[in-house]
Amino acid sequence: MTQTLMNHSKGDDIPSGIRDDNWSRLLMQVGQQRNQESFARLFAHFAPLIKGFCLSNPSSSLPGEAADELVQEVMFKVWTKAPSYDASKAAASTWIFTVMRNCRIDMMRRNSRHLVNSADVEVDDIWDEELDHQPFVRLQQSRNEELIQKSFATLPAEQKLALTQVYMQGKSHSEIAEETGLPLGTVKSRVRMGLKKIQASFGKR
Amino acid sequence: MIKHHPDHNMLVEYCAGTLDWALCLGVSTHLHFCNECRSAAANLNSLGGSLLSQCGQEAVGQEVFAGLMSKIQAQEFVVAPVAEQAAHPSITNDRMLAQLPKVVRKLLPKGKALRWQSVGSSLKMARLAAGQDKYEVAFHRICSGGKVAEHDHGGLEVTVVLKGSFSDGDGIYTPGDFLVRQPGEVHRPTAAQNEDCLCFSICEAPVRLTGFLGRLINPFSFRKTRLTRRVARNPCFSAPKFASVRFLTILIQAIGTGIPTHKGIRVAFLPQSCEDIPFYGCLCKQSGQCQRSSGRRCHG
Ligand SMILES: [Zn+2]
Repeated sequence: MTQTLMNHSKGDDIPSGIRDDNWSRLLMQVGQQRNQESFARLFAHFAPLIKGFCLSNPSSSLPGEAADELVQEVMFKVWTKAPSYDASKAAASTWIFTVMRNCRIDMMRRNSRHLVNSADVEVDDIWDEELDHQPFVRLQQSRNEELIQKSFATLPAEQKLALTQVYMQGKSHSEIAEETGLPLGTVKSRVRMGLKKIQASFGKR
Repeated sequence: MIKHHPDHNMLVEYCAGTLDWALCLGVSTHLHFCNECRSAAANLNSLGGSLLSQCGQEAVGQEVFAGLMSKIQAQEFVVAPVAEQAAHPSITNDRMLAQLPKVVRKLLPKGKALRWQSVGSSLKMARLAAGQDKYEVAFHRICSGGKVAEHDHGGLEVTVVLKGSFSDGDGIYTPGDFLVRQPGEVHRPTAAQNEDCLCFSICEAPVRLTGFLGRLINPFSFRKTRLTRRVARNPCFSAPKFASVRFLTILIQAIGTGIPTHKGIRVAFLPQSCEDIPFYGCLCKQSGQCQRSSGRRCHG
């Protein structure tokens, strides 16, 4: 059984039980060699994750089509921005997360009642990649991600949930408070406590 | 040495992309100055990345990939646009505006000078177009040694020091320092003696009433009035009452007919009943937090 599943990746130099830094290597190839085959493999792995991430908000009832559109937009950006990706600074999944986040901000902004089309400032000016390239940020990012994953798993359920709501459901603290009926202070402290435990796994702040 | 940072809650909202756009401008500006927060943000991004790689997968149809590839192929033929000219004439002659963080530079008006307005004797402000109307985004410039009249705010105010320094009762603030003032907090900033202080300010705007009457009642947002202080300290701001706000706006516009409306004039009323205070902001008695824009009725 396992054997037949494995056959799908026959001819690939990367086994199917792929580790995260291999995705990073693949993304580097996409950026430097503009390799469409590597890109197809990145797509096969990340597109379903991106869609799952975006559909994890039960209240947004994003229709499947819109989710597909977002997936396409994110992966399009991944392709065009890949030349600036540097595996020594961020794991592929972290970098793709930031690309996805920026797409989502763009999308939400287009629908915002506070939007005023008078400014030149864009998402990429605020969440500026150059900021990540400055000294002191050069931690071992992919190792970090493993540590984060491990300590996230050990969090109490309520802290896990709060962080999931912030990241995956894209809700602000006050939106969470409003929807759950919890006091804002409680939401904030759950998020803070969760982060504190996660951050404790790789030193202070 | 930066001593004041956005808290973890604000930073996580910034990294997750759920923080208000205007506040993100402030956080990004702080990150330009602060190594510590930059590395915290990198870790928060990694948390996002690890949540992404752990989340449940949803099948994506083959046609999505096919569509994407044809989009990519189409775009390969498009010639890259010519790089935008970087220098803004407005910044070259003012030493104060040299070498600003990139995100702030982006907010400067293109090809024209900033419009500075005097607010009292020692404070000037210049509004910046930040692509939204929820917060007032502006430069505040305190002249060296200048004291700003004691004031408080109808809403949240975030300040990032860009140049020079200022102090208030709580401390001294230098470039990169990120300050959050809650509604109702009174303070009186004073710039250092040796140079002007330039700050980037993001202010949750109270309802802007426009027109002639608005200007009569409160010509400057910083003017200290008995009314604004009483309103700001009043713990029972009501949740938005759009109907009454609208009515007041129409009323004021009717009174001030013929006079061009003026954006950005703030006004605070103190009517008989708290229910009628035309503020978006709402101080909640239970949480002590501003419930602005939550659309929820206040507890208090
Ligand atoms: Zn900081």
